[in-house]
Amino acid sequence: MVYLQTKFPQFPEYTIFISLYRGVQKEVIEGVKTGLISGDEKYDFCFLNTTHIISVEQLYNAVHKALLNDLNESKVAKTLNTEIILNLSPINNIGDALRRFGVNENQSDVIVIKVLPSGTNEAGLDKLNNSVIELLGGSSVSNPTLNDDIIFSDLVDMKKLKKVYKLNDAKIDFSQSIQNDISKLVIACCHLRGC
Amino acid sequence: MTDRLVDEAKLLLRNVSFQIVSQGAEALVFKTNIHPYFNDDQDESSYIIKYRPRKPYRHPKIDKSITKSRTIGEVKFMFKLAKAGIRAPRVVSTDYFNGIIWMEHIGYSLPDGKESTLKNWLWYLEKVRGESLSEEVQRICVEVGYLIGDLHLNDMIHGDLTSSNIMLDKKGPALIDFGLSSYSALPEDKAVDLYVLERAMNSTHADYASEYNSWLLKGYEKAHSDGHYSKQANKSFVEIIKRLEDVRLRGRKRSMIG
Ligand SMILES: Nc1ncnc2c1ncn2[C@@H]1O[C@H](COP(=O)(O)OP(=O)(O)O)[C@@H](O)[C@H]1O
Ligand SMILES: [Mg+2]
Repeated sequence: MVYLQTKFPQFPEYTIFISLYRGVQKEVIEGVKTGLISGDEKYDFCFLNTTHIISVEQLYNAVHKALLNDLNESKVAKTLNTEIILNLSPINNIGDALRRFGVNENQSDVIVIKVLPSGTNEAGLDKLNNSVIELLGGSSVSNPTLNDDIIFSDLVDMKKLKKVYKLNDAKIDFSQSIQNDISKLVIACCHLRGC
Repeated sequence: MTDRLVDEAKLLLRNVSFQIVSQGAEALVFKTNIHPYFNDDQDESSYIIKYRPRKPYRHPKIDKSITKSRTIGEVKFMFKLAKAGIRAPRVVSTDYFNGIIWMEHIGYSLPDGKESTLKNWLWYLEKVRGESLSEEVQRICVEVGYLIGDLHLNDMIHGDLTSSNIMLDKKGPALIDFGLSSYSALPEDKAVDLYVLERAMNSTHADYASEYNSWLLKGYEKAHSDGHYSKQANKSFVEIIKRLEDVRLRGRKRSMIG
């Protein structure tokens, strides 16, 4: 049972929870989608597929930017969860962002993000993680640590990622890791969405 | 005046402590050890925050839109540089609404405590060490010229090439400050870019400018003949230098008149 938690210096009032679940069944994902559409509170999380995610840093960047937009009152989406998804995307269209980054029936790896009040303690986070595991199929899903290694070796689809972020012609700096270099490019792309 | 601007920045950058690096006409530049969203205790990296404050003499709406477009323009240029493999700071985060860019910090502190811009490094060597024409200086100038050649071969114009807008570190030179940058394939625009640098070198490093400038051009030529780019590159170098001579002549005439 593992999840990441972090805080942003500019937003001490929040704790960010991020976790990975693998082996989520098709029917469960259909249920998540239905729950999201009907606004069921049980599903008040940011649910992502992993195809176009290259690093943990990319996820944090999107959450940070969503909180910044919230603070500046320049949020485009109605909810913070959707604003996070939009801020992962290089394309300034919520429907398109949901299609590319949201959960879908053909992908059994799911990343879940939740922005919580910073008072949330360890026990609260454990409980939250348990409830997400229940929601996604209980004992049939695994909950490995989300980190850059598992992202790069198991989760990301580099070909699709490069296509979505239009990085096929990018010159990769081989003096650092490819993952790190592309992650930085992807983040800049997100900051230029709609510009 | 500046205190007020710094207070404004503190308000926007809640809980982020920073030092002031520079205060230009358009922007304040801060240095911090805090990453906006990816802090880890082992990481000792620094970051630069470039802040374009509000200009009280402009209409607030127009002011917001000017600030926003300059900030976006700079971020876009940094992204294109990264994509083309030309050394410059990576974008970490942005807040266009408030005129803020967070980026990677490039460089180190010189023995006199100053940031390692090309200018500070050359000044340090000129004033403290008296080693201005060493092989190392020549090598660095050639590398800087090469970098600018790379930039122009990608049809990107810096717009404000000075020795303060070039950072040095272990990996070599990197470009910064893209508030006036643009895109053009015209030899004229590239020649003007080079001329701006030449003038800046003449005024900032008067004693050694002719050596520095000739090494810079040597590196610039090298980028064009290195074979990374098309065969046209050599031809375009000749064209740019021809234009540079015209631009110099125009500059001289202008300074004779007024
Ligand atoms: N990414 C960076 N890394 C290190 N130093 C920087 C960086 N960006 C700016 N600086 C420092 O701040 C100074 C001013 O920044 P610059 O972007 O050139 O702003 P201005 O438009 O005011 O000239 C630079 O000359 C350099 O000393
Ligand atoms: Mg400058």
